[in-house]
Formats: sequence, structure tokens, C-alpha cells
Amino acid sequence: MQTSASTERVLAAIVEVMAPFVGATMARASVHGFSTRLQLTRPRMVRADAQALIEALAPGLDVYVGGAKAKALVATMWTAFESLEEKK
Amino acid sequence: MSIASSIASAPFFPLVKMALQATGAIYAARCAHHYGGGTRVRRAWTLMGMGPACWLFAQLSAALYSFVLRRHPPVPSFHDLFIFTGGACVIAACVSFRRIYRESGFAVDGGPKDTLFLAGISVPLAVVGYVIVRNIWSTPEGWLEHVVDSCYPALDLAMLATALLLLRTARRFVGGRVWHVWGAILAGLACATTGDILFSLSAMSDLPIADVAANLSLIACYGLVALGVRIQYRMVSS
Repeated sequence: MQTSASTERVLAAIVEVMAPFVGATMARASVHGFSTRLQLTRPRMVRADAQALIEALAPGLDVYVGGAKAKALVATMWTAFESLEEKK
Repeated sequence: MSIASSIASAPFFPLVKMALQATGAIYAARCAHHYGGGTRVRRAWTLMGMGPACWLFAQLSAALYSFVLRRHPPVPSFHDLFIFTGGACVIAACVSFRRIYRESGFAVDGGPKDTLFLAGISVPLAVVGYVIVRNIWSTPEGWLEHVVDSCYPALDLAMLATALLLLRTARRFVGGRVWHVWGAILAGLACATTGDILFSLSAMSDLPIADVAANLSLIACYGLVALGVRIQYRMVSS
């Protein structure tokens, strides 16, 4: 069964994960920038959309906070996404 | 001898500076080690670490002349060479970080706005540089001393311009730990410029209080750079 989550809530959750490290302004601008580039404009996103977004953010996080911390942040993003997922 | 001149000639300042320079260099090296081999971020942190490392060698060279040989170093000396190399490494590191951050895909400004900003800050910095260099060349020293002494403000102002450019990027990280890293490092580089200007003032006016203020500015510089690098290390290693 296909699952999805509210795009707005997922983006807010990802921003919340990144904000303590890159600041709320940079986190918001970058997450929204990547979501626009990836055309995640529908009100709900599926797992593949979340994967594309998180994979796009990961190399940048690696630069700013280092590989180990970036991996931990990516894992937290997935946990946040999974907690917001709902069955269709 | 006044209290200020006693403080200025005490070995306290070189010892504190060397401790802070060593701390900055060690944490930057450990930071670089945490990034993958051959990556540009690793190279940038290595360059950032080479700055305090070169300044440490410069300080050791100056201490050798002051406290062991008990005479002024020749011009140019290893002290000058290490100071210039350290400054060039820090400038190269800042330029690398700026490029890496722009290419990270995150919302970092750049392009024509950078050129405009650089043009805007170049004018006042060039005026300040001209005033300082003119004063240096008005002293009765030889041309070689003049050239070497002029390189100090030139390098400082170049470092300040690079730091201001990087600050444009770093201000977007306000509220995050990345901002703490760059806030500390860039404030440190601003203190380096202040310290060197105060040193040239103290050399021209022979005021021991200016020498103490210059030493304190440079201690603040090395301390802030070490603090920033340490915050980055704590972030990448935790």
C-alpha cells in the first residue's frame, strides 16, 4: 500500500533537523530551494520524493558538519519522515 | 620603565600566542582528518591549519632572536616569511571555503553580487592601506625594510577583504553552529588586522601602551581562530 506525507510538514521537519547546525534561515532557504528544483510542489510527497530531497541535501551537509554528523542528520530526517507518513 | 613597557617586553605574550597558535593548528589538522582523503573540504581545513602553524613558527623565530640571541632579527627574516606564508594560507582557505560552500547547493549568495561587494570594500581598504604604507615609506629605513614592512598591511587588508567576503556567506548561518565557527574565525582575522595596525602605530609613536594593545589584539586573533576551529572539530567529531 502506497504511503505519503504532507509536503509542508515534511519540509518543516527537515528544516527543524538542520537548523541547529546551519541556522533556521539557511535551513529553510536550502530545503525550499532543493524542493523547488526537484519539483516537489504537490501537497503530499511519497517516499521516493523524500529520498530525492534528502539525497540532494546530504552532500552539502557533509561539507558543513562532516560525514558522521551528516549521516546522523540524514537518519533523523528519515525518522521524521516516517513519523509523518500515512497510508493512502 | 613604565608598567606598559614592562608588560610589552615580557615573555608572557609570546607564550600565550604560541599556545593559541598550536591549539588552532592542531584542531584544524584534526578537523581535516575527519573529512575524506583528497576532498576539497579537507584541503581547505588543512590550509586553515597551516595559517596558525606558520604563525607559530614565526613566533618561535621571533622568540629566538628576542630571548636567546638578544638582538633584532634581520630584514627579511624567517619571522616575516612565516607570517606571510601563514596569511596567504588563511586567505587561500577562505577562498576555498567560499567556493565549496557556493557549490554545496545550499542557498549561498555569489556571482555579480560578490564582485560588487568586493569593489565596494576595496575602495576604503585601499585608502587605509595607502595611508599606512605612506607612513612606512616616510621613515628613514632602507628600501628592503620598507618593502617588507609594507607587505604586512597589504596582507592584512587582503585577509580582511577575504574575511568580509566570507562573512557575507556566513551571516546566512546565524543561529547555527556553522555560524559560531565562522563568527569566531572571522572575528579573529579582524583582530589580526587591528593588531598589526596597532603594531605599526607603536613602532612609529614608540608608545608601549600601543604595543600592549597590539599584543592583546593578536592574542584575541589566535584565540578566536583556535576557538572557531575547535567548534568545527567538535561538530565533525561528535
